[in-house]
Amino acid sequence: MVFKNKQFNKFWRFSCSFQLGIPVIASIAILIAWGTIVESQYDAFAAKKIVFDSWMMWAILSLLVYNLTVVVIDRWPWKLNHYPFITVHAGIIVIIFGGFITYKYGLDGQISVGINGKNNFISVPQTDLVVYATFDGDRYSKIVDREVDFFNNPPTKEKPFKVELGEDQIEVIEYVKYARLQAKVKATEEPLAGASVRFQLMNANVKQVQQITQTKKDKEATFNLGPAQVFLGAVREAKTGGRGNEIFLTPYDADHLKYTIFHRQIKKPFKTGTIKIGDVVATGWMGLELRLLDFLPKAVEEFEVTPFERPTPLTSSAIRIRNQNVEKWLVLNDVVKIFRNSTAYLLSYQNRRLDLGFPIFLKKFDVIRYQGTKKAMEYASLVRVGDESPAQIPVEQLISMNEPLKFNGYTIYQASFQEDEVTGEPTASVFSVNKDPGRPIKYLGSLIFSLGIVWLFYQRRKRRTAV
Amino acid sequence: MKQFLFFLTILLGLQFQARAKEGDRLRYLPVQDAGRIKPFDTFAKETLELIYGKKTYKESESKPSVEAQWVVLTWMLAPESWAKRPLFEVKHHDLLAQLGLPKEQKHFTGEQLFQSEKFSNLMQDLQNKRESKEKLTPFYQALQRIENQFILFREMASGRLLKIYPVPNSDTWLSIAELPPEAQTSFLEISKAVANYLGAQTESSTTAEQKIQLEKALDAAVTHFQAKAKQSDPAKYELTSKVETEVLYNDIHPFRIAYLFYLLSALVLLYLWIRNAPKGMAIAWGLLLTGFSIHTLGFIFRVYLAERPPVSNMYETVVWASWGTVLFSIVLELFYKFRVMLLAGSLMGLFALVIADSAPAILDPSLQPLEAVLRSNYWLIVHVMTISISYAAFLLAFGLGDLGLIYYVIDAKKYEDRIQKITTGVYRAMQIGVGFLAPGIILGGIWADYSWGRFWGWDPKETWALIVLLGYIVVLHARLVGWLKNFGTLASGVITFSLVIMAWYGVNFVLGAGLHSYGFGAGGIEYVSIFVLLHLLFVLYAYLTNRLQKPA
Repeated sequence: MVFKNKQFNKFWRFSCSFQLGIPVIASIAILIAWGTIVESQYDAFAAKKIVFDSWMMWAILSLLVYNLTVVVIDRWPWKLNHYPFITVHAGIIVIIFGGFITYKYGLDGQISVGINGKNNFISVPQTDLVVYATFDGDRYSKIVDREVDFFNNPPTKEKPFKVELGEDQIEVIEYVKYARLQAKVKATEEPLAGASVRFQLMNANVKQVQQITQTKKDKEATFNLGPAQVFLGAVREAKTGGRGNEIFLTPYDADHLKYTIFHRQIKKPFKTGTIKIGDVVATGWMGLELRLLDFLPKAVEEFEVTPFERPTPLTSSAIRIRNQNVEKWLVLNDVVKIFRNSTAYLLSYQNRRLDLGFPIFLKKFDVIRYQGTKKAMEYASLVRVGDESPAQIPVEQLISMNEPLKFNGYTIYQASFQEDEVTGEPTASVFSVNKDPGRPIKYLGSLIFSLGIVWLFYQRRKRRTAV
Repeated sequence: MKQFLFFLTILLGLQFQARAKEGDRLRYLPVQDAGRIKPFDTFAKETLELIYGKKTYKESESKPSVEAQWVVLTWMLAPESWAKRPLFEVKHHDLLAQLGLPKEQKHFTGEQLFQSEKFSNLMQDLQNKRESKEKLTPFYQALQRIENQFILFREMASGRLLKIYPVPNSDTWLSIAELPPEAQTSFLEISKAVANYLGAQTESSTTAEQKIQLEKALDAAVTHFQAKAKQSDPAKYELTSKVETEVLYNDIHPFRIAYLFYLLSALVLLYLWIRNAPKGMAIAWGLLLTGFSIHTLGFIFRVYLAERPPVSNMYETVVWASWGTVLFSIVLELFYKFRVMLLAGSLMGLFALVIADSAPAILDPSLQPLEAVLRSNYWLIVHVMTISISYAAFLLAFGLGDLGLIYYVIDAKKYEDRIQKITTGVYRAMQIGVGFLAPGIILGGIWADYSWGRFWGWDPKETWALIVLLGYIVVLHARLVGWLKNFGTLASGVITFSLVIMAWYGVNFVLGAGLHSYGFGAGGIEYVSIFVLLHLLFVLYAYLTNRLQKPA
C-alpha cells in the first residue's frame, strides 16, 4: 500500500516494518523471561502481578497486534501467495484477542469439598476487605465490602488505606507480602473479650500442651484429643447420643476456673471443683492428668508477624490495621475483631468467594497409588452437582484427572486432593472451576495459525538453497 | 542389508552371553521398588549409583571392580565389612570443607561422614530449613543427598529395602526383614550360596570346576526362593515377566552401542567431507543407519518396559531429541545430498547420547512411574514429544552452525560454496524446528486447557518454549528481509540454541533450584554455563577473524 500523504506513508511503512516487529518480539521474549525469573524467585502469583498481567505486557502485546494488523492490511489486494502469510499472522492476532477476553471476563477459582460434604463457594485470587459491625455481639451486618489490591498498591504508615465507618475509621497501615505468623494470646482490657487457658494433658504415653481461647465472652472454645474433649465455657447439656469423656473449664474469677469432669455415657459429673494456675487434676481416664499452665480471664489471640523476603509454603500475606490507638495484624483469609465501647467490628481480609449458584456434593473420592508407594497414580471424585430446584437438573458424574465436568457454563476439573497428615487417607477433593468466554476465540486462532503454518510449509520455494 | 545382519549378530551374541552365564539367576530376581517391579540387577545398579555414583564398585585402583548385585547384597549380608570402605559419594566442595574432609577425594566411608559432630549439626540445620519449608540451596540439596545415601544404606543393610515376596491382600511386597519363616529359610540358602561363591572368588586355589559348582548352587537357591515367592501369590508373580527383558536391556546398553556407530559414521563422513571424496557415502550411511536402528531399538525397549512413551524426564528427552536430530539429518541429506547434513546429524546424535550416558546423577536413566496428570493423558505426552523433537531440529541447526563457523575461521572466501550449503541446512533445520514447536506449544495449550482448565498459565516451562519460538521467529524473519547473511544465520543457529538450553535444561535445573542460590550446582550448572559461554566466544572469534580476513 502506498499513501499520498508522505508523512503518513512513512509512518505506515514503519508500522508494518521489521524495524518495529523484531524489537517488539524481542521485547516480549525478554519481558516474559523476566517473568519466569520473578516466578522462580518469588511465586507464580507475584510473576502474574508484576509481569504477565501488568500494563507493560498488554502495551507490548498491543504493539504486536498493531504491527501484525498493519502488515496484513498492507498486503492488500491479497493474492493467493499471500494467503499462508496472512493466515499465520491473523491466527496470532485472534489468539491474543482470545487471551484478552479470558483475562477480562474469565473466571478461575478453586473449591475444596470434603468427602461426603458439599460446597458452593469458589475462591478466586482477587482480595476483598470486608467489615461487619455488631451492637449486641450476636448479629453482624456487613457495612463495607471493597476490592483491594495491596500487592500492587501497598498501603504505608504515611499513605494508609482508609475505611470510613461513620465517625470511626479503620486504617490499613502496612502490607507484608510474605509473612510467617505465630498466634499469640495476650491479656486485654476489652470488655467483650473471651477467656483463654493453657493446659497440659499427660499420662505415660501422651504429653500435650494446648492453648484454647474464646473468640468472645462466654463463647465456648474446645480442644479435641480424640477420646476426650476439653471445653472452655459453661457446662452444657449432654448431646443426643450421650456424653463423651468431657472436661468443662468455666471461668470463675480473676484467678480461678471451675472444672467439671464427665465420663462417657454417665450423666452425673465424675468430679467438680476449682482450679488455679499450677494445679493438677486427675481426670480418671487412662491415667490422664490435666495441669493448668496459664489462665487469662480476658484475652485476645493475635498474630506476631515476621516478614520474609521470599514466599515459602508457610508464609501468607498480612496487613496491619489501626483503629484509634489499637494496631493489629490480619492475615489473608482470616478475621480480626475490634471492640469499641458499644459496638464491635469484625474485619476480614479475604480471597473473594463467589457463589456458583449450585452446590457440589462429593459422594466418593478414590485414589489409586503406585504399588508399594504413596505416590498417586490416579484419583477421581464422584460428584453430584445442582440441587432439586426446577432450574437445575442435578448431574452425577465422575471427575478425574483430564476428565472434567461441564455444568451451567462452568467447567469443573480435578485439581488435587487433601490428605490426613497422620493416616495419609484423603479427606477432601480440590477442584478448579472456570468459566472462559475467550476459549472458542483462542481455539479458532490456534486453528487458523496452525493451518497457516502448514500452508506456509507447502508453499513452493523459488530457490533451492536458503534465501 | 549387511549391516543389519551384523547388528542382529551382536544382539544375539549378547543375549546368548546373558542367558548362558551361570550364577546369574540372582540378577533376574523380581524386586518391588519405586512403584514397579524390576529385576534385582536394575535395583542393585540404581541403588549403587545413588550411593556410590557408579554402577560398579572399585575400592581402589589396584582392586578389581565388583558388580552391583554383589555389592548391594553384601551390605545386607555383612554390613560391618563396609564400615571402613569408601562408599558414599560426596562431590559438593563446600560441604566437604564444612565436614572437614579432603576435596580431592570423591568417596568416603560411613565412619568419616556420619559419626562426626559436624555432620549432626549440619543435619539439624537441614531439619530447620525443612521445617520452615524454604527452598533448599544446592548446599543443602547436597546434604540431603548424603542423608538419602545414609538412609538407603541403612535400610538395605537392615533388609527392609529389598522387597521380594508378594503376599495376597496387600499391594506392598514383603521385604527380607518381614519374610515368613519358611521363606526366610529359603532366602538364607541364597545368602549362604552367595557367601560361598564370593569367598571362592578371592581364594586362588579354587578351580574352574569348583566355581561352576558354586554358581550352580547359587542359581538353584535363587530358583528355589522364586518358587516359594510364586506360591505365596502366583497372580502377582505372573506380572514379573518383563524382568528378563529388562536385564537384557541393561546388558545390551543399546544407546552406548548406538553412539559408537554414530562416532564411526561421523569419522567417515568427516573424511569424505574434508577430502571431497567421490565414493564412500555407502559406508557412512550404513554405519549411521545401524546406529540409528539400535537407537530406535533402545526406545522400543524402554517403551515396552515402562509402558509409556519415553519422554518423561531430562534423560529421556535428551535420548529422544538426539534420535530426532539424526532423523532430521537423514531427511535433509536425502533431500539435499550435501553430506554435511549427515555429518552434523551424527555428531550431534553422538554428542547428546554421550551426555545422556555420562551424567546419570543429573540425567536419571532409571525408569520412574509417571505423575498422575501425565499418566492419564496420552496427548500431553504427544505434545511433549512434539516440542522436544523441535529441539532436536534446533540441535541440528546448532551443530551445522558450529561447522559453518569453522569455515569462517579458516577462510570464508575459499569455502563459500560449503558455507552456502551449511547455511541452507541451518535455515531449513530452524524451519523444521519452528514447524514442530509452534503446533507443539498450541497442542500443549489445548491439552492444558482440557486437563487443567487453562490454555496458557505462564508456567516457566511453557513460557520458555514460547521464548525459544520467538527467538527463532526473529531469526527466520531477519533472514527473510536480509538482515542476516550467511554468517548471521550460522551464528544465530549457535546463539539461539542457548534459549533452547534454557528452556530444556535451565527451567528445571536453574530456575527450579532457584536463582538466588549460589555456589556449585548439584546439577551440572557450571558445565552447561561453560558450554554456552564457550560457544558465544567461538561465535565472537569467528566474527573477528572473518573481519580481519576481509580486505579493508
